[in-house]
Amino acid sequence: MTNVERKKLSPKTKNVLSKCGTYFGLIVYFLFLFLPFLVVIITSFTSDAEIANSKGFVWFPHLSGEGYRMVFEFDPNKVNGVPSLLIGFFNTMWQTLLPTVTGLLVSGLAAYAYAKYDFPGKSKFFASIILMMTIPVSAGITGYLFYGMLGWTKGGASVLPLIVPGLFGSAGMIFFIYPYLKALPDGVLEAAKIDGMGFFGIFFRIVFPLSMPVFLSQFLFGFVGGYNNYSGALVYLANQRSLWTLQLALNQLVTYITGAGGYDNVACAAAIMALAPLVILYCFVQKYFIEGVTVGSVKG
Amino acid sequence: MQDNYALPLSDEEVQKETAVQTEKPNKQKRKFRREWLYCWIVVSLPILGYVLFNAFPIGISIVSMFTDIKHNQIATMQWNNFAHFATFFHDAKYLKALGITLWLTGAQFLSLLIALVVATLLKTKVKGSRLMQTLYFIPYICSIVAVTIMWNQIFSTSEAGVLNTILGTQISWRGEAKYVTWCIFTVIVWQAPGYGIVMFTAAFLGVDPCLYEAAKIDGANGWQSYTKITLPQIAPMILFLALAGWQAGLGTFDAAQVMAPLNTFTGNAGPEDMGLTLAYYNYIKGMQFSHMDYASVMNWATAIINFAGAFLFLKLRKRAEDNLG
Repeated sequence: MTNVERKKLSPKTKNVLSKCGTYFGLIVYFLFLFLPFLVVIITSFTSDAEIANSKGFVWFPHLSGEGYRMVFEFDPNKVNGVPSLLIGFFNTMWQTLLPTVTGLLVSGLAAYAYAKYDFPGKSKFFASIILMMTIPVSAGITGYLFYGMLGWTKGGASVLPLIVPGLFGSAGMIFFIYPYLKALPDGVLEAAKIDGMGFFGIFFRIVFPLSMPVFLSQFLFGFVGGYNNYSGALVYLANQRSLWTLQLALNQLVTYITGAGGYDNVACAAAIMALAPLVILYCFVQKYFIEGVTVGSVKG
Repeated sequence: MQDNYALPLSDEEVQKETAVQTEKPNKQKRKFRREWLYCWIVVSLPILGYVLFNAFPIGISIVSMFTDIKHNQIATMQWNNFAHFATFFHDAKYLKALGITLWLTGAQFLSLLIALVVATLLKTKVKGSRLMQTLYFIPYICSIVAVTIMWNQIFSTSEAGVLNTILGTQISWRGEAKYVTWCIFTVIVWQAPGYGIVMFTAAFLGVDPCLYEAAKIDGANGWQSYTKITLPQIAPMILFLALAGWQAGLGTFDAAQVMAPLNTFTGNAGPEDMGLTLAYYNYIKGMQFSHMDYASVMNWATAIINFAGAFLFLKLRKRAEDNLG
């Protein structure tokens, strides 16, 4: 469009045009994101025979619950007759909640000590936390050697490398929580102290309830990370079927099903069942999710 | 999720914070209080955890580079006269994996660009933009395994695959070496932008509205005020996300492992190894073939590449911050 032409458009038309362009862009992106969801949902409700007999993708299938039924019937990895996806869900829950909640509690208490107490050696401790934070080195997968040395790569102990390190909290969490606790008025704490509350009493009865949103968004952060963690489970738990997490069980199941040929509907049904809990949770508490992502990093 | 990228305080602020605490006069010798004990315990725990489960594994990983270890059993450790390094410098597979990893890191940068464009569109506050933002974040919380299963339907080999139906072709997208990396690329681009969109939206809100007012008075049009005000103002955020994308890109594993599973007969990750990322190669070497000693060499080589890039982004970010004054 040349300059001359642009001048001819009245501001009002221009406004309408840019609005239309914006909507167009947003809707195209929306379709890119949600057509794949639509595809799996449709496929999960199509019967295998219909998929096999059709030339091309079946957009309007005859609804069939076959996929969802077969997820449980087909499962080659059942433990004592319980489907692996169910066991995986249960394992994911405890293997995620235990380190997330404990780690958050420890980090919260540490942040509370830094924010509200003036104890000897505080600055040295704080400096070492900063050091931990600024050196982003980790052994990654080669940590396997270390855990092997501890005997944590065999049998039931295989789950320990995924849980124990998380119990100690992290510098990242401390830094996230610290500014919130720092901002709490000292007067409230002083009053509680006069009432005879101790270090932990003040934390659990006053500080924690007052800063619930920050703990909640950190919790969701950790929870989503744990729920979706695949590589850690793959490295340490691959041989321990009874400890498989949801993601591991899902991948093993789908590899088996699609390896046998066909049965895309079962694979899709399994994927939806694995996705649904988190997406539903997100719908209820999306505000905290988004807050958890952005808060604190905005300045950066 | 990437919580380690979200620093609530910048380094300078932290230093200020510490400085203030050390300055406090310590005149009278303070009497021991029981609270101090609790403080010491709770602040020691994270440091203890770091030493036990980060520093120790790192130490062992570094030592293992110079040794032969059988079946990943540390007891069999034996000095091997830099044999792993000699192998490493002639490892063509590592170079190939590096190439593929950089290719897939491109997906992270493309995601960043998409996030910037989408966040800019959302910024115009059309009806429903709040809802849109909420919806756009959903892919980011989806597990990569389920997402990959989802995209496998689209890239399906059979004629019932969605892409083949639309194009009228019968291509085995994941089965051919020239397509499989692009399949992984697509999955990443589908999933990654949600994070950037949320971050950019927040960054836009942080721009001082007075700047726009001033520009308007000076007669700047929308495009000019976007390129001359908005972009420089959010430049630190762009570079912060670029750094996060760089690190996520170098660590690409899940999508590649699920979409291009290891063929145990040929030892290939996807057709002609075209799904082999650095992290995936590490996994195959270390876990599948139990050569964690050699995997350590690759792990630290990758870490050096990672630092080099991170250093560059941090420098650029510093400059962008300085420009803002």
